[in-house]
Amino acid sequence: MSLNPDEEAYLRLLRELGLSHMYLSPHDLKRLALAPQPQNPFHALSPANIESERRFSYCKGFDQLLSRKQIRWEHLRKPIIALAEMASVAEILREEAADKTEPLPELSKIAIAYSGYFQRRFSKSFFPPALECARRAPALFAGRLLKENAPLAAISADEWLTMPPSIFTAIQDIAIFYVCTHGRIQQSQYQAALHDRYWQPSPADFGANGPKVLVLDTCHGADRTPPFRNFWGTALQGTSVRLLLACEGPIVIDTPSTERGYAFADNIVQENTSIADAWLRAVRSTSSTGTSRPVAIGLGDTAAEATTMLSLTFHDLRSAAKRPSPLSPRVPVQFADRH
Amino acid sequence: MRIENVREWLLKTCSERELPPIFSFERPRTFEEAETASFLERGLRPSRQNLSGTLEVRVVSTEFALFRDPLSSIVEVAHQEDPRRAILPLQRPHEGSQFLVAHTRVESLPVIGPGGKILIQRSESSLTADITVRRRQLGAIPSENWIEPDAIYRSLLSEFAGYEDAIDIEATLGYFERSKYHVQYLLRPTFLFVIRPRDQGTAESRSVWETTHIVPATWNPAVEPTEQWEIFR
Repeated sequence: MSLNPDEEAYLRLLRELGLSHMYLSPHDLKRLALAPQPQNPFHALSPANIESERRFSYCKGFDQLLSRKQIRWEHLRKPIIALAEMASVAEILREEAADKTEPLPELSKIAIAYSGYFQRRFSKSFFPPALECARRAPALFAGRLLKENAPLAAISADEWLTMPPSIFTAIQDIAIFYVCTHGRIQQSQYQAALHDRYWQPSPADFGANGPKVLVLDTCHGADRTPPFRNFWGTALQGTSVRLLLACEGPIVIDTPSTERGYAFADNIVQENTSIADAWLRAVRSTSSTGTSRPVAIGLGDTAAEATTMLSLTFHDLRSAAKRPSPLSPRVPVQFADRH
Repeated sequence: MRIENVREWLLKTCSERELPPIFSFERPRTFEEAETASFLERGLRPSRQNLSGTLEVRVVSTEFALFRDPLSSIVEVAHQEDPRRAILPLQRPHEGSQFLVAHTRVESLPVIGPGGKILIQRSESSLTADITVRRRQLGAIPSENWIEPDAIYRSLLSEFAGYEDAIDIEATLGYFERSKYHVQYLLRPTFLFVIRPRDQGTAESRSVWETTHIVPATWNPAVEPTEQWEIFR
C-alpha cells in the first residue's frame, strides 16, 4: 500500500512532533490512530510544552494538508500505530540517556562575596562610599541559580570577607565565583576594596582547583589595554580561572542596576547561551545609566583556547568531560575578549 | 555639576517646562497566535519575557538567510508595541562592541533607566534582541505638580553628606522605565542623578565609582500609593 505525497507529509509532521520533539506521547499517537477520520492533532489532542511559534507552524501545516482532502485515513492508521510503538521505545532510550548525561550539580557549585561597608581609616585620601546595594547582585545571582540545582558553596560579606585566604580555602572546585564591591586601579594593578583593606589578586589566591569563571562586579574589573593585561596575565597564570567577566571603567551600583546578578544567572541557564554573552547582556539590559561597559575575557594557554572560552556554557561547566582545565603555570596567558 | 548647583538646576528645569503627564502601562501580555504569525512573516522568532511581558527575539545563524533586514524588522516591532513613542536610531555604544542600542522618547523627554530601549547583540552565531518597550494605555494621568525641588535637593544632600566636595552630579529629567525583569504599572517623569567622584585619577591609578539617585519628578495623589519609589533612594 503506497502513500500519496500528502499522506507522507502528514506522517512526516507527526514523526517530528512525536519522535524528534516528543510533543506527542505514544498514548496520544494511539488515540489519534483510533479517530474515525483525518484529524489535525492540535485540534484533537493537546501537545504538551510546545512553544507558540512552533505550535502555529505545525498546526498550519496539518490544516493545509487536511484541506486538500487527499488523505486516506485507512492508509494512515497502521503507520501511526507503528509510529506510536517507535515513540515508546524512543521514550525509554531517552530516559536512560538522560540519566547518563545529566549535568553534575557538584560541578556547578558557586560562591559569592560582597562588601558594602568600609572602614574610613584604611585610606586617608579616598574612602569609598558605602555600597548598600552590593549584596543584591550576588544574592540575586545565587538565588536564581539555586533553582537550577547549582549549590551555593560559600558566601562571605563585609567584615567577614578577608581575602585572601579564608574564602578561597572554601571555594575549591567552584564553577563561578561572583564578587561585588568597589574596585580601583592602583599603579596599573587591579584592587578590590574589602572592609578595611584592598585585595590585589595573585595566583596563590586561586590555585589550580579554584573557580573556572571569575565575575568581578566592581569598577575597573578589566581593561583591554596592555598594562592591565599584563597584570591579569601574571595574576591568573597557572590558575583555574578561564573566563573573567567584568567592566571597563565604572560599573553603576544602584538598586535597578544590581538586577544584573539575576539577569546574568537567568541568561546562563538559557539553552545555547555562552556565559560570556550572558554577562554582557545582563549588564547592558539592567544598567540604569547605560554607561557601564561590560567585557568578557577568555583566558588560555593559546589564543585559540582563549577564544573557545568565550563560547563556554554553564552546561559545559557541569560536564566533567567539557570542563576547562587550569592554565599552565609555564606558558604566558593568552587573551580573547568580547564586549 | 557640583551638588550645590543641583537646587538651581531643579528650579530652572521645573519652571521652564510644562508639567509632563504620567502614563499607565497595559498589563503584561502573553503571546497570541495572530501575533506569532505576524512575527513569523518577518522571519523573527519571538517570545515574551515571563515577568514583564516585554518582547525578546532570538535568531540563530542558520536562520540569518530567512530575512533580509532583521534590524529594521525589530525596530518596526518595537514601534508596534508603543506607536506613540519615538524610537531613536540604533547606535553602537562604543567602537567594536557587539551591541546596538536604540533609545526612545516619550512626550519629548528621553526614556531613561534600564528599560525603554531596544538592545541588540549580534554575533557570528546569533542575534538576540530585548525590546523593553512596554505598551502604554491610551490617555494620560495629568501631573498635579512638580515634587518640591527643595525636598529633592535635601534628599541628595543627606545621602551624600561628607562627600559634597568629592562628587560631581549629572542630572537628567526623563521617563523612567525598568528592566524586562519587572512588572511596571506607571511611566513617570523622573529625575535621574548620576553621581561620580570629582577626582577621576590618572590612567595608572583610578578609583572611579558610579551610583544614582532616582526620584519621581511630579506627583498626583491618585497614583502615589501604586509605586514603591523609595527603594531607589
